[in-house]
Amino acid sequence: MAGIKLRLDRYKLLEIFAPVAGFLASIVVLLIIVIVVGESPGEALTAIYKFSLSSSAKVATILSVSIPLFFAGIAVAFAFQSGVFNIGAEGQYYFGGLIGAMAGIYLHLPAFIHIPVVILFSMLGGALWALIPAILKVTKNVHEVITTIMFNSIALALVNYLVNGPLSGLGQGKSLEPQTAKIQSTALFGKLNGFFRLLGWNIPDYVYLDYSLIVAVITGFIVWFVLFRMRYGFEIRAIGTSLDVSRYAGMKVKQLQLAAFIISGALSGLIGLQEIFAIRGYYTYGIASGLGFDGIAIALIGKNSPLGVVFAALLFAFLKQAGYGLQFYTSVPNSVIYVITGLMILFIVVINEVVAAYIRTLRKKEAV
Amino acid sequence: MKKLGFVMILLLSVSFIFAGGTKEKSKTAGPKYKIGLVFDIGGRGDKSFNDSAHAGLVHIAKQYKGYIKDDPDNVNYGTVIEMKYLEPKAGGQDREQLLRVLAEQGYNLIYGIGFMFSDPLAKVAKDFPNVHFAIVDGYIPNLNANSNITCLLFKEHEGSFLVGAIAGLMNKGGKIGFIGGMDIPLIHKFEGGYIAGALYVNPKLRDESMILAQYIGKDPSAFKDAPAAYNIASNMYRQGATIIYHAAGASGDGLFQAAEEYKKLAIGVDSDQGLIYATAKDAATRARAKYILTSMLKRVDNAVFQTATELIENGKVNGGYNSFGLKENGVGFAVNKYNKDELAPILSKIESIRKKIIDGEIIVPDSDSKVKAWALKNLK
Amino acid sequence: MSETLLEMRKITKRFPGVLANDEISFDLLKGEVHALVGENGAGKTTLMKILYGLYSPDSGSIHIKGEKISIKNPKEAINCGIGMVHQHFMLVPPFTVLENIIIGEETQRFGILNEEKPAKKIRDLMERNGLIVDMYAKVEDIPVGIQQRVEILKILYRGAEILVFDEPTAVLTPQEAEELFKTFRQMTAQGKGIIFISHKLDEVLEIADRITVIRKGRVVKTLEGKEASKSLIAELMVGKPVLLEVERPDVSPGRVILEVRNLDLKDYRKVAVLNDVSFSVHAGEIYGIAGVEGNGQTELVAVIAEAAPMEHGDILLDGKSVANWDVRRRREAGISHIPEDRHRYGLLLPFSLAENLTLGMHHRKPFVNRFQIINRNKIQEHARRVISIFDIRTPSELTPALALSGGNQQKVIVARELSAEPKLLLAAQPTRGVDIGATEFIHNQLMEAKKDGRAILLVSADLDEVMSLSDRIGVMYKGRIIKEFAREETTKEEIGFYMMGEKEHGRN
Repeated sequence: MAGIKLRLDRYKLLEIFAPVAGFLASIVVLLIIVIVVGESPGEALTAIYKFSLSSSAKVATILSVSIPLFFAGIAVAFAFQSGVFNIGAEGQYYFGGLIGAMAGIYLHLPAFIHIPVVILFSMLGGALWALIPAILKVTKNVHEVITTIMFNSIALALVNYLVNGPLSGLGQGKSLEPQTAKIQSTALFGKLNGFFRLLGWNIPDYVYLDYSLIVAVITGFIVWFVLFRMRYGFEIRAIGTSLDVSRYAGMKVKQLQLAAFIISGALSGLIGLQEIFAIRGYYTYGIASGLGFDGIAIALIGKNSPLGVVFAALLFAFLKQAGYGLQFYTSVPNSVIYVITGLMILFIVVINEVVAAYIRTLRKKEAV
Repeated sequence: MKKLGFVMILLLSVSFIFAGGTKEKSKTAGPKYKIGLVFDIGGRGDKSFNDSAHAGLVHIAKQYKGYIKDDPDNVNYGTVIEMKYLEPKAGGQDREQLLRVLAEQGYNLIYGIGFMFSDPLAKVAKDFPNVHFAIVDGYIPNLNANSNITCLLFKEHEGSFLVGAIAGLMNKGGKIGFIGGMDIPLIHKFEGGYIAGALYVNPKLRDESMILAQYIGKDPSAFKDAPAAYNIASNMYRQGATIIYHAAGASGDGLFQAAEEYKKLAIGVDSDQGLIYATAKDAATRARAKYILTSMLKRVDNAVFQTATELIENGKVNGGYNSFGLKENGVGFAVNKYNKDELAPILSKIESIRKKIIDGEIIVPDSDSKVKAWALKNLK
Repeated sequence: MSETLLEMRKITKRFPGVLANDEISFDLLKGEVHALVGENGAGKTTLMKILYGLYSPDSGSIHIKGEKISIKNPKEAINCGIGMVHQHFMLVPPFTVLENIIIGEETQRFGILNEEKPAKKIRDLMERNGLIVDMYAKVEDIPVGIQQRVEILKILYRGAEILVFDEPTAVLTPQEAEELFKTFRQMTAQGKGIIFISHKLDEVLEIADRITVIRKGRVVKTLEGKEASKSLIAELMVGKPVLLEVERPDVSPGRVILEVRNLDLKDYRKVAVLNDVSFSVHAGEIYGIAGVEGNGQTELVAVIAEAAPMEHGDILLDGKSVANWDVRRRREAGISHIPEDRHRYGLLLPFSLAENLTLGMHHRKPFVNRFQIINRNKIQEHARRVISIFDIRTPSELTPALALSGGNQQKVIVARELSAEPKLLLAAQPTRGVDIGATEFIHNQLMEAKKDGRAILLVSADLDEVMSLSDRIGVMYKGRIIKEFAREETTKEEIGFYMMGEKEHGRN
């Protein structure tokens, strides 16, 4: 990553200040709630610490939990960069995961081909699910928020039908959970835990640091490179900033929107990788739901930049673990963490705006 | 610069909280056993499946002088048994994590409530051979008595058979109906038993148009879609149904609402819903109670309690599969002070059916798809 | 004549990081026109917003007829007799003139609007101030110049004694501007005071009794109208001597670069906006389009710059038809475009100057390699070069465009479009909203481009600009070019008549 220059001028510092302040503010609110519930704030913080950072296993778990969150964030962020409000990541990873799982179940390939194939099929499925809303947007100007929401419902219904019906892998006396047949072992994601232990990071076997982490790192780098180092990425960011200017500058706005939308769908297809190929080994309707919407929040907090999304995904994973910590060690209800997550998004976004306005005036002054 | 001040105030208030807020929790000698439980989504307070599991914990606390940690109701009868429950979010590795953290913290017996725990529970159990795990509604293959996993499976079809018989006896010549929540094999067990029970007692229902059955949907939201249940139920009542049974979780409320509106009867599921509704706080809910004829009971509480009893009495739990049918008092139907008069005339008949099932004289089909074959074989 | 209507004493207003008004003192006498001039960002607008109750000053006081008052909102300002004619009119288009005037001040009886009394009052105001308007016409049906009269009537109706005009002539023809000044004189004769904000120094000199020049939030000087001159004001505004007249290089026009033939265009409502427009622009020539805004100039530029479905006609660049080409192809063929609305079309504001300076060429070598990977060094090199040639004031080429002042932003656009070395430059309102210094610079750059043999199509609402830069001038009226002049053979007044369409019939 030689291209990234960490120029910590005061604007950068101010920009970093925003999420930190939002984070601190929401922690304060959390502690107030903890006091109202009748627990001690010190114990609450200890509980959070114990569940999130107290051991390498816990830290590794945060990293693990952040992987699907990262994919969700980067998928939504990519669309946001182009000004496309893709809130259909949910449906796209349901469908993408299904296609990927089908490739994992029914294709017979050696592992070194099978794994890339299921990844590509997952992306293909996600892209396909984004295709119709994308075409409708570009040709008929149908707003993507409406179509993608509808496509989320369609995907859910379709997947449930398939898993309970034609693709059901339930035999007699098996698990009562609706699911497909098992994915072949050649398509299952192995774990990197041993590799990390070689590097001196002592993490137990059960933590899911699997191949999807590699996919995430590569994806993040490619997305960053395309967006910030390639002409098409520049044009995608340009149309996201102003359609009028982009058209004026001769960019092919419609094609770019279409491409960005479909790529966002393909990235969404990756959200389910970890759960399907590393955790479960089969596909079911119960694949983590709601990640598409988490993705919106993560993209927002990460300001649509790949690096920002990394941090936001880690933050979300941390919050999730913190919630369980509170639940486990205190009587603070689990739902409190939903409230806090919501508040944190609000705080960070508002403070971001304030800081951005402040930076604008500072810059104006400087530029004369 | 005002902003800087604001941050300072924030920091100050944080440090204040640290300084002022610590409170000592009384710690006594450790409990003899620690029992953990992870709910299905919906968690405590769903007035149905999860709450039934919770009732099992309360029963343990009463019987063996235990307490439930961090419970809003302060269930506390002593310190011999410590209990703790957790609630996961959807999907991902969350269930596995919660089971694991309970195991790590030295819990001796850990329950997973719901079939979604099958895989996570099997994985965690492998890592903690000295901890015993139990799963409600989940099937994990290849277990034996020495395994550290017990599957607590219910014969919902047996209980459903009884309420089907009740419906068949009390339908006054009308049709009967069934509303399923999500269209999955588990719910078809309810339907199969119900239909078989009705056919068993009432030959008139063998005409195909006499039994109406419909599922709300194909995704989990079908268990919390009361308006859909209301629409389906209204439709069935208009078509001439006089009694409708639901296996649709929280959606059931829609059925009860329709029953009240059409002045027809309904049958609840899992918990004694008639009793719950009759003792509810708000009047609208109470008004619906008298239209709830009975409920098919799925005694998750009994299953939870019995498994814990094994641990506490014998020091260990046998692995494998525990089936909870009529015989084990794992399923049944509800008789309470509100409906006992109404059911009185047929109770002896239902009781004899119950005995026949327990004795193996009647083998109840466990899916509606098997009812036809069953009927051809068993009914004249 | 000497009674003070308004006095603003030592007004200071600070925004985060900017001192917008620094102890500005300003007064207005009864019966005078007091012009307020200064470059963009000098603090004129802030001062007027304070007067109108939109901002509250950090320090300083406002006195009306010697009495200290505080104005918290526009309602209070109106009650104090302050009225403002904004650049953008605050009228309800489907309402009649009468309704627009009395809106918010309706007199009613038993819930029924009483239009009798107000109508009489308005008629009286019209006659006294020379503001004749059909009271029952709908505002959307009347021309911009007349709409402005409605605005003035509206504030007079509310009893304004202090009238603020923010760039009122920007939307007017020279003749309409003359009418407006007549109204000014009628109003001052009645003892009202007028604050006149304008960039057009000729007008300021013509109408103002006193002229206050502000620069960087401070009052530089208040001049008597008689002692002022254009160059003096300009120098005070900019802070250094300014060359007001453009030096016109002597270039003989070359071959035809742009040829527009019989162009017909309809808008989305199927209303004709361009009607049989034909003209040509030669290499090394500036062809100016004069006309009141909204007569098809915007559409004309748009149809040449980008693909718009034409009804009829053809556009040729260097002899080749470009009518069916998309924007990118046209740009590659050598069309550059300084857009009329730079805020909307000109810049990607959050992007760096370097990126903005290659916009439109960003897909070409050397800015990307053959794998479409951006060459940031080349982009920044190019930016640094252009920034120094065009004297763009910026901390660095990596500064986002939004951090620049309006004049510098416009320079960025002009610089970019010229650095593409176009055959044809479409310059639409190239100096709108730009201060004198930047205007001078942009004019010089256009002349340089002309010297380099580029064909330039200039569209401007500022007739002076068109007159001083163009070699030939076409006057647009209702989607047609109704008259074409060589620069030497016409006068401002003559063009003004054509702009109002008054000679249209004579031509046919």
